[in-house]
Amino acid sequence: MKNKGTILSFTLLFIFAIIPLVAGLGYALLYSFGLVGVLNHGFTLQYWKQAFADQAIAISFLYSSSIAIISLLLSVISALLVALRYYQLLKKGIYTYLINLPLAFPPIVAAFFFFQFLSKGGVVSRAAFQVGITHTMQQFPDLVNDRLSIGIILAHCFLSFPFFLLLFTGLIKTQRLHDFFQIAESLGANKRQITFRVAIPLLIQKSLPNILLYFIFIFGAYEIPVLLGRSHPESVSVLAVRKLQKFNMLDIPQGYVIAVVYTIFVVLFILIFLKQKKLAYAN
Amino acid sequence: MFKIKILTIGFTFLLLGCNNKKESNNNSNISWQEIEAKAKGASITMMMFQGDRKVNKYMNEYVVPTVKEKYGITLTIVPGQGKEIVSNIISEKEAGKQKSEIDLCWINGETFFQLRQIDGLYGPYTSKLPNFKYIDTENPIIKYDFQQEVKGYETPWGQSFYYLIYDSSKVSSPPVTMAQFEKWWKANPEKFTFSNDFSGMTLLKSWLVELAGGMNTLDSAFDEKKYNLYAPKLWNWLNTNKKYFWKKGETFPSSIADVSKMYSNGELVFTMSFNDAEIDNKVNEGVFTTTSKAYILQSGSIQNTHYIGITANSGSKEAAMVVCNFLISPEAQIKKNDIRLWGSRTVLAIDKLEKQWQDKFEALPKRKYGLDAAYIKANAIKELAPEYMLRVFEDFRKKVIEK
Repeated sequence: MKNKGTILSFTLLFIFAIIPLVAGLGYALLYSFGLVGVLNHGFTLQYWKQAFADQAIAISFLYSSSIAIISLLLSVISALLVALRYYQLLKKGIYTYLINLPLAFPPIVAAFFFFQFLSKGGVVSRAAFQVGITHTMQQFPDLVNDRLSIGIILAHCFLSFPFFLLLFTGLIKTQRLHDFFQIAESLGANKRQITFRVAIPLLIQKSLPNILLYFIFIFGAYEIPVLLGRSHPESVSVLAVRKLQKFNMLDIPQGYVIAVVYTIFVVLFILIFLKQKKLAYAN
Repeated sequence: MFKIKILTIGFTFLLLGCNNKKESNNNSNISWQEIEAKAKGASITMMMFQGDRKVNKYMNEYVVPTVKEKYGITLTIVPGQGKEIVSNIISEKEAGKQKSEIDLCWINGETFFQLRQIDGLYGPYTSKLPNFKYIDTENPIIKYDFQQEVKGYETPWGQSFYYLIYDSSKVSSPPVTMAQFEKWWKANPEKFTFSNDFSGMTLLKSWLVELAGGMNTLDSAFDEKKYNLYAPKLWNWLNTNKKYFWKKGETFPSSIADVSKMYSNGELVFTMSFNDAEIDNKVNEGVFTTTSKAYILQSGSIQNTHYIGITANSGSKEAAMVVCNFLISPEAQIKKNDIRLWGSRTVLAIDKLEKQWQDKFEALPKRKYGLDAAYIKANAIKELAPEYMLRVFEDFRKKVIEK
């Protein structure tokens, strides 16, 4: 029986995960080397050279990673603090709903919401004008399409904060972390020590796989950076889509180059993460 | 070893799907009656821009039911424009699909150029359309699509021209030359920008024409020498002045819709349009202020025609042709020209029409905020060759945005 189950699950994995991945990556690879595609004329390294001729790809990878790291730092830290401080409160009705509400937002809606809210002609700016904090629209600070990507980071935090809060409160409950806290307390640890030396390390360790997966999610995000970002630098997805879909058809192979590089990056990242996960459980 | 096998199988599988077959298309010897007879009962799909409520209404509430009733053709409209149409047809070719999902497409400029490059369009066919005799074929804006001769591969459908919109309560005399723009920007920082899309690039091309010496100077095929002579001047000029743009020119809105939105809420004082009726429509809807005015640059207004193409692998070219013929009928063109319905300028030569249609065109309501047809025609700059757009788009990113 067990053997049958293994074969079945492997077949399913093969059909639904490995074949599409290999086929997709294979197609992107062939396209990027000029081997398929209506406008291609056979093997060439030209597109790879073109794609790396300027620093656009490197810049976009750095940019997307930075956005993901900063957003995660902010949302994980704040979720940790809120979960530990208000754990009891969050178990009860209305707060659970309120806190979980943003989880129901698709990224594109969140992006629009922040745009309408934070742009110079947006809700906050209008309110500031009405109460006399600003006197012209130009005085309102740049919060979307801005130099520091504040809008993008806020939108990502808005979506990821409730996710982590839910995760952490869930972990505190299911892993009976309160028992650990009590043990620590009875051993003479003070509140600060419990928080920083017991609670946070335990929660981070247990949730590391989710944090890393969320990194990939933010790294590959499209809607939020396309609406709230600037023309330059561009996130990886925005750059790839521009190459694949904007005016110049001859840029399509370069779009595939980015797709290949992106896939390799994510696969490597997951391999490293799997290793981490093993370590986490070994401890 | 196992992995290599999987990869090999995967690649072979992919390569098998990738051979293209060219279909020869010929309808040359059959009469129009036979074409209409063959078209009856057919179902066809048209891919077009569906981002405008009025355009959608014109298609869904007028064209679709009328072709069903008159010719028994079931027409389905699907959204998609420009590159999406090209990508779709490319994908179908790459997958070796014999019958295209798209029969008709709303195209022009670089989309036409690209579809011709990949043999994606059926033709020449327009001379077979009975209503084609009404088309203003001598008009260079209709005969050439971005400097490329149409040669019967697409049906002219409507005309567009590029104009700017400004708020006359905030600007007394709008800038029409580059020198005047520079002066205005300096006096009014952060009130101007353009989009990093087709509309914005058209403004850049208009300035390129001004730099090159004005109307007609950049006509005919793409000229690398001229481009290399004038484009760097344009980038220099923009880099010197972009600090006066919206957000100090560090970023540009990704679409013209964003510019218009900021114009309507007062964040910007100018917007641009390729849609002749837009200013009248938006003022009537209360989106733009009644102090909004349309104007064109001193160097002229870039103008183009939009067309309907039939895909080379369309399963029902006859039905597609019948629909094309209907779209250029005086009846359909009058409705398209009507500012209350769509408001896109006709491609028909009014003097070629029968008297009753001429009168009907004459009786259409006049534009209140838009510009006069004769004035526009006298200041027409033919759309430049598509390569200019590609180069301007790419260089604007590299030499201005990323600087």
